[in-house]
This record gives sequence, structure tokens and C-alpha cells, in this order.
Amino acid sequence: MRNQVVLSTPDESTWQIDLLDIVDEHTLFPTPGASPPTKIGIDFGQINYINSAGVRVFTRWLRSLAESCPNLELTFSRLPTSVLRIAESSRLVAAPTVVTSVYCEYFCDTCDETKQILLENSPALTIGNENCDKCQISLEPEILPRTFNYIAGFAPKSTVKAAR
Amino acid sequence: MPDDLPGHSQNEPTIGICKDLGADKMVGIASEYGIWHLVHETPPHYESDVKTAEIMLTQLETFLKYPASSILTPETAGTEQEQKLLSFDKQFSCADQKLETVEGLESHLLNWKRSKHFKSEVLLAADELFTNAIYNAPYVGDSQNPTSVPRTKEYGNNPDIRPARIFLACDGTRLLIGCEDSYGSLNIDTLIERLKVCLQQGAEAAIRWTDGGAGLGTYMILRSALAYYVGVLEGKKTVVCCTYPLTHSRMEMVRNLHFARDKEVGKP
Repeated sequence: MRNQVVLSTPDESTWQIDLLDIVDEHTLFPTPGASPPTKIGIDFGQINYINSAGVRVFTRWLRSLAESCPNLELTFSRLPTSVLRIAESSRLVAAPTVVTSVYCEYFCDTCDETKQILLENSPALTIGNENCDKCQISLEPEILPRTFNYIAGFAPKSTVKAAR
Repeated sequence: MPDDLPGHSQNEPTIGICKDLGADKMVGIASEYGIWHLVHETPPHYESDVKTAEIMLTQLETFLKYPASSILTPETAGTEQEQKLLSFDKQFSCADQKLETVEGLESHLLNWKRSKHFKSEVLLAADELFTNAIYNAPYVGDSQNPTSVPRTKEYGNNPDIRPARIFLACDGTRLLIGCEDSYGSLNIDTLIERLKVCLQQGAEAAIRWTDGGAGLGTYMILRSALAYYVGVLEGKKTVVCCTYPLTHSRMEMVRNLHFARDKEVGKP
């Protein structure tokens, strides 16, 4: 099975979920029981893609969490480009989720090389200058400004307070 | 969107030449005006995609038989060029073959220097095309299954499913992934309307919550692909292809769309 959800529970009120490879129609997310978690962290760093049926499974699960865990703190980390493309439109990333980091791809117009950089959403999501490892020239970030701004809006609360 | 397109008649085969149009506007034009070939006048693929549109409009059978060369090298579309361009070609006929198909593609994509995330988006397209060929093509259109069927083993491993194929091709600047099924049941009007809903209302509002497809697959492919091509010979064959840029940043690209369908000779 390539679609896997690995759940660990650092303490009784916290779930850490690592998504591996593929989220699709067969993916089973954990269901909160009698004592639901108050914090869930989801790491997308090892994911390959979420297909259309997976978007539905994930969205349905997020909706059920909103009902069963009313004061839940939901944190997403290491969101890849393939998920960012659908994040806003599908509301996979929506309030009150916090996004701590995303992957940004950079492209070299000269040699066609690509590079991925993990951008931290703290103190604020910033696209830095990256140079091509081969040509040493400045690379173009492959993230839409609209997507960037949308995701930047889900910065951790402590970061937002600090900025104010 | 223009209020009117001068000189255009709904049933007239037309290639629409676009300038900086977003996917939502392009799909809107395809829906409202029946212009099913929309090509941006931007290099480097403008001339090539206009020729592909000509092939799809005037010799759809050529496109359906030689899709990779009709798209990547339309001047020389045919058996020889098709074989040169194809680098991966796998037949499948049941849902249980999805894993080996996606893994086969994944191994093949290791040869390309684009990033892991780029490859993920190609694999996502493969996943969606495979699923459509197994769960939609054999079933949609009949009175019991107007849209799609549940993603169960019963439907997915039905021994009566006719073989389909997924293929990859490359011309050095574009990577093409395509899928061919032997049903020709894809309803292009429905597909365009579905895309329109996704683009106008967002994926969340467009999700189908029933057991069949979520109805987002093509929309998700379109968000990452350079161009999208659909050819249907009704009742016989459907070919869907999309291309991805290998030599340009995807931030700079504009999308092209192509839809074409025909009936078998002699059929009403």
C-alpha cells in the first residue's frame, strides 16, 4: 500500500500525522474517540501527491474534525507545490489551520535546473534569492503570488503577534 | 470575456488565438462559443499547437492513432515519429494495475532532471487518467451511471473492461503524458461544464460527495499542465493528453486547450 497515514501521539491531547506517498480514495485518517485531541500536526514532507479522490477524503476528514474537536489547533508543515496548487480552491488549507512551512521550487532559465527550498512561515513567509548551483545566476521562484499570499496568511499566531 | 466573437458561428470549426487568458476565461469561451481549440499566441509552442489543432479538426483519426507526434511534432505525425517519441507505454485493464503503472512511470521519470514535485504532478495526472479509463470510460453514459461509478473492486476489476494504455513522450522541451481507452464515452460538453464549475466556484464547491469520482481530476491536471488535449471518436476511442514544460519555468507559461470529437463514418 502506497497510501499511508502514520499517527504518533506525543501526549494524550496531541496527534502527529505523517502523510506518506499518496493520499487517495483508500487513505484512512484516524477518527477522534472519546477524548479528542486538542492539537494535530500534519507533515506533508514525505507526500508524493493527493489525487482528486484524496482531496475529497481529506476535506471530509477536516470537516469532521471541525465538528468533533471544536477547539482544535491544526498545524500543517512542509506543504509541497502539488498540494499548494489545490490548497486554496479546495479549502484544504483554511482557518483555523496554521501553516509553518512550504516547499518552493526555483527554476533556472539558463540551464533548466530546478531546486527546492523549504520556506518557514516564521517570522513571515519570504521568498529569498536563490542562485543556480550550476550557473550561479538568480533563480525564478515557481509559486504564484496569489498562492503565496494565501498561504502566508496562515502563519503561526505567535508570529503574527510578534509582527504587530 | 468578449461580448461577441465577430464572424464566429457556433458549429464552425475554429481555432481561437488567445492573449493572456486564464484557464477560467478559456473554458468559458469553450463553453459559451463552442470554440474547442484555444491557443495562446506565445512562443515557443504557438505554431506547433496551431498545427495540432488543425490535425484534430481535420484528421482526428491521425491524432487518435498518433497522439504524441500529433502534439509534439505535428508536421511529421505518424508511426515512425510516434515510436521515436514514446519512451513509456503501458497497457492496463483493471484497477489492481494502478500501483504497478504509477510505479513504472515513477521509475521512468527518474531519468528526468526536473524536481520531485514536478514529477509528482505528472504522477498525479497519470493517476487521474488511469482512474478515468478504469472507472469512468467503461461505465459512464449508460442510464444507470450517468457520471461515474463507485471506486470499488467490483467495478475496477471487472474482467470485461477493455484494455487502455498510458504513455509518456518527450521532444526535449515538453514532457507529454497521455491515456487512450477503447470506449469513446467521454462527454466533452460535460467535461467543459465541470471545469467551468471548478474554475468559477472553486474545488470545494465543486466536489461530488457521492461514491463516484470527486469530479476534480481534470481541473487538478489543468492547474499544473502546459496544455490539455482531448480527442473522442464516439463509441470507439478516447485519447487525453497533457504536456508539461521541461525548458521553461511554469510561472511563465500560458495554457492551451484542445477538444475534438467525431462519430464513426456511417454513424448518425
